[in-house]
Amino acid sequence: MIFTKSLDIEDIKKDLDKDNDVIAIIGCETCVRVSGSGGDEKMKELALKLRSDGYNVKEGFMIPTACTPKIFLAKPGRSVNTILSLACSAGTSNLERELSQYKVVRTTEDIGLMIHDTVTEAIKITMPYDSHKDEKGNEYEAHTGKALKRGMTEKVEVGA
Amino acid sequence: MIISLRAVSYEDLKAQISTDDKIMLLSCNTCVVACGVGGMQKMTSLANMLEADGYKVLGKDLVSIGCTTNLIQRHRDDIKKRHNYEEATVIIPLICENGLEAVQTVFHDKKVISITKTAGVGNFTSMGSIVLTHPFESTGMELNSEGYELSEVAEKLGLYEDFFDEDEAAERETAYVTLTIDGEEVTAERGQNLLQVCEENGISIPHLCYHEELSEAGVCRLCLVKIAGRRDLMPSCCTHVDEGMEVVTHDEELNHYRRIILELIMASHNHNCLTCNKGVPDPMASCELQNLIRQYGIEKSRYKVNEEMLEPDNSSPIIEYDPNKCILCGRCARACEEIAGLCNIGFVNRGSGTVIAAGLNKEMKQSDCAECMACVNVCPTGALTERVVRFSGEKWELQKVYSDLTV
Repeated sequence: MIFTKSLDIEDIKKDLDKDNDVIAIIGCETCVRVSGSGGDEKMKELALKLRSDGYNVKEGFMIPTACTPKIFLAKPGRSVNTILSLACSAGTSNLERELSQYKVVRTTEDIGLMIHDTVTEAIKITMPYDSHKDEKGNEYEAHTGKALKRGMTEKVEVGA
Repeated sequence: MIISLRAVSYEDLKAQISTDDKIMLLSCNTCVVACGVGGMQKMTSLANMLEADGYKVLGKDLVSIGCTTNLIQRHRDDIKKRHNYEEATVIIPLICENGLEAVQTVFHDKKVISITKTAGVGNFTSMGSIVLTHPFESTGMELNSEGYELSEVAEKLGLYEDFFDEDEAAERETAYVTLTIDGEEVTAERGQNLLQVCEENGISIPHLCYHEELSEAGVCRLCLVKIAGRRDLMPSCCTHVDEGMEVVTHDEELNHYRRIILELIMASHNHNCLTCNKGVPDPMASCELQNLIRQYGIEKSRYKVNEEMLEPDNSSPIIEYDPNKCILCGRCARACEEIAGLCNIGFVNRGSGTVIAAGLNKEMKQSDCAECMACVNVCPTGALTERVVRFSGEKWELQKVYSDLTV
């Protein structure tokens, strides 16, 4: 799985045009949701925040995987000209390539690859990109992205 | 999607093991399958090669998501697999380098041999190819939103584009049998599944409970065939071929029974394709039941349709379960046990009240579901589907979106 962190809302807004962009958010339900930087709640939070700041956010789609042709399950309305990608870099590049008629704006940054434990709800960074090499071994709470103390992913055995 | 390629030659792999080793093969069932270095087929191929060269392979184990540590633990501790894992001296996982860490954590007391190199992340494109878009810096490759084809990645990084070639191993000593299917003489490996032999020889037998990645169940009875010398009709998915077997797969009587079974399934619940995610046949979602109903030219069921509407379970953030579209084939229960290693899904109630349920009849979200999609990937109807939703309006209200992958 790919671990991502949310970009700062002010950085996202720098890529948006308040007057001309009609926005649809496309969210991935896989890695980015487990990382805590995506999913229904994050999408709603982002949409309502941007709306309150005067941006025209029309709609949002939550699709199973953004790095596959399943992105075509999202059918933005005719007026939409901008896609906010609530996906990892792989999903975002897929949106850029396959939906090239839209301006695609990313909302997350890849940290690296992660393993996940659905019992302890812990995530561990195994293969960070060089720009985040200090993250190797760091652990986070799944679905929230809150930092954890190291050792959670090895701690609990099934049945314990 | 994580992009991984094969990093070792077959000779290099053999150099790391001895004929005294007892080997367990394990494969992730996600990204590595798309990259051509994992999955049940590749595991079978590697097992055949190693056995032909005199190595002892104890078993093959498919894991729904290899980078989920507790699923690997569950496979290791599974009552049906535990003895193999305990006896094994070597684990060969067909998994990315990320998942490898989970395997090494769980099998810290075993020799784990990795065969892949993970190059970065990428996409499964609409053209059907896999591309690397965001390589790791260590590869020396630049970011490329169009993506690098796997052949290019293999060339640049000195990796292998394909899986091991079976010709590299010694020829397998296989016992073959000759049988007759619908009057044609056919050769097959002794003990092979009759349904698979038929498919390999271009004979299609309808089936709904059989899935090549799961154990045999023989519950849907659609694949019944006639075998000379046997009084009863036999489910071909549970019958293994033998020398001199004479099989009839299609005749008026068999097709009559199949129509009855399909009509009974149609009548069992409200199989309404208008409100089904798998109602539109496309490359990523097509209903196997709908295909069979069309194939047999059935327009309506002669039996009284059960009008009772059961409550769908939309509690999971990624899975939708509609019991009204369930045909009780049991694929999901077997996938949850055998591929996820969880046993979270099973049958509850008895008789006509039988339904599939998670966590002994809890909502999916309250159960032990790991959201690995093993059940969804094998469901032949629209009972278990991926969730696709649209949000809009002032309060960001949710609305279901039906599967339609037209561009």
